[in-house]
Amino acid sequence: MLLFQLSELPKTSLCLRFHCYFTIVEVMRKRGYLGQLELMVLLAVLRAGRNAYGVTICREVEDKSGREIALGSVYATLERSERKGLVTSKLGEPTAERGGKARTYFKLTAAGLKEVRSSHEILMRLSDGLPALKGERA
Amino acid sequence: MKPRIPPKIATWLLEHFGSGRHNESLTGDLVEEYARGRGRLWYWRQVLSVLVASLVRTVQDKLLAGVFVVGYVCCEFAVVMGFLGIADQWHHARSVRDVLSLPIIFNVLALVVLAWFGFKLMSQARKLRRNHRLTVR
Repeated sequence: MLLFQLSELPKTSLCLRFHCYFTIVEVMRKRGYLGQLELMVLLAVLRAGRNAYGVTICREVEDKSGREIALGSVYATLERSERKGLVTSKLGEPTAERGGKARTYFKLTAAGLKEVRSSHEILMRLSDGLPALKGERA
Repeated sequence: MKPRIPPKIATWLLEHFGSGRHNESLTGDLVEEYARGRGRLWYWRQVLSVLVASLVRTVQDKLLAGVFVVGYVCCEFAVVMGFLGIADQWHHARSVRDVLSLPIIFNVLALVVLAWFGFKLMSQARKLRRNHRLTVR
């Protein structure tokens, strides 16, 4: 859509053209593929629903992947996703059980959900019909 | 029942040297998990991994700026030394030809370019910081 707009611009609006080129670069930069951990964390946020905070997200990923994962890695991934606009965060109430520290609850945005769906579909399409993945000989 | 208290030094390190945006919640999560029965070793491992990640992030963020500052200061130093050299040669100049042969214009130009570049960079950094603040909000 942006490329179409660019071709329609008159030759005189050089400044606007310049701006459009940068817009395209920005859009391309934002539309990167999700990494494996990023996808796992976003799916865990979806699974945890309203109770999606560090511990529950980490547990979901550990339970489903069978691997131990550092809470720091989960938070780093969530911060990166937040910068990309894939999740939003909300601070809860501090509790004595947590040494007076509040929980941060995470929620997938519409863009995040779209990105997860897209990544999931790509993986399904790529793996569909592969005998090696069904335990047969490749 | 008395609640389990996590290692104080590890918590202090995390609170003071962890650089993530949700560092406080991360600390709370670790305290919560420790209270639920995780071991001291687990706690220390988690804290160390956060500290290492924070250190790497800080170095990545500041490395380019650090290299630039060192380079900039070296250039400024060279220009100042150039002026000192010019002053010394001026002092010992015997004729107008000696004075004209001094690289005064070159040094003045270098100083102006450096000052202009530094000013541009500073205003650009201020603009970026303001935009970043707006985005974060």
